[in-house]
Amino acid sequence: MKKKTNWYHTLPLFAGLALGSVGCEPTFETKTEDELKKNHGMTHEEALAGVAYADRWRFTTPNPDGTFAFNYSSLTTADQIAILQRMRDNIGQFLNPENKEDTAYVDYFGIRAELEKQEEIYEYRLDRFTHVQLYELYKAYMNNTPLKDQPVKRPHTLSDTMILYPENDLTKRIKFTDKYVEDAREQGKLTLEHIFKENQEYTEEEPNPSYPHKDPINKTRWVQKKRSYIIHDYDCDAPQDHRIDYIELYREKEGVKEQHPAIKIFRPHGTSTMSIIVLDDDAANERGHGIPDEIINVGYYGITTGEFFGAKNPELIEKIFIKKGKENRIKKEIPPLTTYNLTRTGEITVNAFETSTTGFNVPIDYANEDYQTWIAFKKQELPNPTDLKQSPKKTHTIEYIAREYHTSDRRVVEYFAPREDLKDNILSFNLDYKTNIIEMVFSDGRVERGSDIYFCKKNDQGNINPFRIGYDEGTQWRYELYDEDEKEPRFEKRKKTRQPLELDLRHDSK
Amino acid sequence: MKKKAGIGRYVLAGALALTTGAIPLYLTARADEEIHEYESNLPHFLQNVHQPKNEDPIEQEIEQIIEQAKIWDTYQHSFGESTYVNDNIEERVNIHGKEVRIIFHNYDHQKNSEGTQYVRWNNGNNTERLSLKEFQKVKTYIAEQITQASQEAYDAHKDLTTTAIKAIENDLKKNGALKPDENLTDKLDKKVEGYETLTIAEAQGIPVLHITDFTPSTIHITGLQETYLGVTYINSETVGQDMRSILLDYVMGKPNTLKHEFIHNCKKLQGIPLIFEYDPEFHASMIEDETIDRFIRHPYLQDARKLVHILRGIDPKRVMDEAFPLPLAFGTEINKEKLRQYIPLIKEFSQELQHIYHNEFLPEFFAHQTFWTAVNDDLRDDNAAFKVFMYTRFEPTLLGGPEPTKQWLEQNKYVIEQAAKKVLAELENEKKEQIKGTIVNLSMSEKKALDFFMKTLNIPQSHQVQAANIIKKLEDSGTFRRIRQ
Repeated sequence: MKKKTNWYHTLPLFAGLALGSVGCEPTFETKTEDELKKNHGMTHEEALAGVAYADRWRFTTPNPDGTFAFNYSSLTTADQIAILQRMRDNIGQFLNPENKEDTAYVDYFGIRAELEKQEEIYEYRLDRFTHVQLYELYKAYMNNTPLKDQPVKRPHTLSDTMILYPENDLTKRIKFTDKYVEDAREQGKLTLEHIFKENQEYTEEEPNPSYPHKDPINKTRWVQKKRSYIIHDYDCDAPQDHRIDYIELYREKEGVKEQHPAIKIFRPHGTSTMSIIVLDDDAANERGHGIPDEIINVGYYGITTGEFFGAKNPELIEKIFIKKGKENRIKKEIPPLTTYNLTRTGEITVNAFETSTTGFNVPIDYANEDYQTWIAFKKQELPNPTDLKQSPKKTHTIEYIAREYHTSDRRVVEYFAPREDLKDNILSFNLDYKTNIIEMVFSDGRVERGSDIYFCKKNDQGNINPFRIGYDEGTQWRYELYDEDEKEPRFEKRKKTRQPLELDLRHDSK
Repeated sequence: MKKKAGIGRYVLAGALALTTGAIPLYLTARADEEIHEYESNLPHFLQNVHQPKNEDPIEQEIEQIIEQAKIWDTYQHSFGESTYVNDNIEERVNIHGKEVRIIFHNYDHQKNSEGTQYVRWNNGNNTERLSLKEFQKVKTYIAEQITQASQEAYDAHKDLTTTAIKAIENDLKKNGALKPDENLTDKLDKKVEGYETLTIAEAQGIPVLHITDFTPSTIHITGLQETYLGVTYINSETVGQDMRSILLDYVMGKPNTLKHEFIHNCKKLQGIPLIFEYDPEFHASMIEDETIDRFIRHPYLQDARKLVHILRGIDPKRVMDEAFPLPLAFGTEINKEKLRQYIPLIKEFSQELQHIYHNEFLPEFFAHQTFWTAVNDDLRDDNAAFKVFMYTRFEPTLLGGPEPTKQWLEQNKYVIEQAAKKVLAELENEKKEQIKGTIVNLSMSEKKALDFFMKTLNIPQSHQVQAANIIKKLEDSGTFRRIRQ
């Protein structure tokens, strides 16, 4: 849902307005009126009468005495769920701390608690209607009927008031089971063919309780957990043919299976393979345990045993154990206003560098990555910048040779000092971008060819090490590490800067 | 500027007053400026307003129409808007057992140079000094209006709770969820298992109404922008009333504006999120006792005009054209004969409509809230539920009476049904396109906000969808951001 505009949140409901049109979009009535006039030649009055008839036709059934009864089944459960979802989401938008305008309105008038209450009301209504909708889906799958045919004939007689009434136990009114299973159970033909147990260790992501006050970066954390489940495979035939017709999978808590199955698997009517999965992701101690949350039709794929199902559907096993929790609404606290005295320039200094006696490291493994070579000349400084007759020298000194590594989005760059003889005597160079081989042209006519390393300065031990390495951290910052003492390959200094869009790497060919 | 004796000191203070507003006015006051107190018991702003009293209700209504128009003509810019809420007179009064904070904008306490207290009233043009007793009349009158308005707003809805409960109870008993000897009323406060913060009444959507639900916590008596008569901030229990509406309502002898706003104020009927799923303005308009002029003109009553045309055969456009013909540069000459003919017809229908709305439709709406809000969405019309209700209960008559109209409908029903199916399919496709994002994708509340915005810009309905798309493109391209910078 998109963010509202500022002025809407202060939009009041006005009692008196200047005359103007009402409604931005065409309605069923205006479109039907147009249709009747333009394509059926009706007069304005006839079209109005037609619209009244059309409204009545859409939502009522005629009674024998000429009156009309409202047809509450003329709209599907899905239609009503869509409205309930929108209403719940509207409340959510007001309560979302990211929406500053809504937050300002809610806090100014102190209506947060009552909106949270409304949210709970609509969550309840959605839960109830979704329960019914899932049942409709389940029946459609079991009967092999396309869902779009279902709305006309609901597989239940629940009115909207019956769906909402809390003391109407929906689990007793609509049952996610089938006649072939219940008949077998009743007649003693439901035979337990296999029992399969599975114990697993896994990691689960959960909200970080330290976020944001103690840990402002990590909204979630990973926690090690254990889980187990047990599967019962049933044959419903008599005499037994030892083929599995029905499966129940239970979560276990401390070795004890829960009251209701987390997964039930059925065989649709007229078929011989199981493919309809009824899934409940609520644990025994959670609201909604025993009420399905999802109906899945795996279609032609077919399921033969519970063990086979578990092995082939790890993502469904995940679902019954790991629920995506609601994001906590955490309002960022506004720190108290702090003011500072006027400070004259020159009164303060800051140190742009952090230092470390042990040295800073690059936390990225980039050694095996491809790279691009960069070669920069030192900027020439003219002895007398105001003398316009001066022209820059034709020979150059190499400032650095750099390697930019193709390390995904971290932009690691190593900077190497050039050989000491590459001073004031370079006319130009050519770089082969595919091989990174450099051809250096000297002012005395020499041409040397070699890799970037060939032209880099060696330390006393004969090694070539970068004097500087830069890399991106996250989406906002970049670190530059500096080794200034040339004694050991250790970066004693580190500078943190705002991440630039483009790195300041030069490629001076002449 | 150096301070000078005599006139200079007043000029400095006056100039500073213009810029800071911080200099109390009494420093510049002349000691002999009069403090007003009027003989009448009415507040000062009603002194020159005529409240028609005629034994003939039709003649009375004609006089009311003309007097209300005079008020618009005279007082268009008479009541100043208030930049700040602070430092206006505030009073707290007990209304129906609830403390109501009333802020009287543009009234503040002052003392003259002799130390006499008075109340300064800033209207849109100048300042008047009123005695404390004179202000008391204002306070008393406003408190009485609030009391009467919240009582009448509640009275119109007082049976809603029991009727809605009855409708739901019948359905539950018919389906076996309640035993024949059980009462739903006894269960309303029971907690819902698994949702312990909710009661059955809340889960079921039954509005359990009290008179204080219609009484705001805060009310601002002020000047509002342009032609706005009243304002309510959703869920806030904060209402504003424009002073012109006090005059207009005095003409009618009914606190219509406050009643209207107090319907909006009632969170159990018009709170977030339900308010975005039906037509709150039509609902609030159903409480007013207004003239034919409002019925045939006001945008909130568009559907009422449609219903009177379809169900009573009275063409509101014809009523308007005949009773208020040809506006000239210097005004419209009302055809009083036509008005005398039409007033009783419209009045009768208006009263019938209001009665049906409160006593039949609202209980049905709240008993089957999820269904009726989905009806509004299905037909893309916030007031579709009420119109469907009316067409289900009453026969159209506009083609020469109920029998000829019914006959005509029987002959044309196939064509109408085909047209309706075609339109429903088009609406469904448009919805799918919206979800894809090819049309401006706004939530219902955003659409309403945009609708209001369009009206303030006077963009005709036929251009509004294109205008909305253009505005969205401008926003997405950063144009507005650049303008703001």
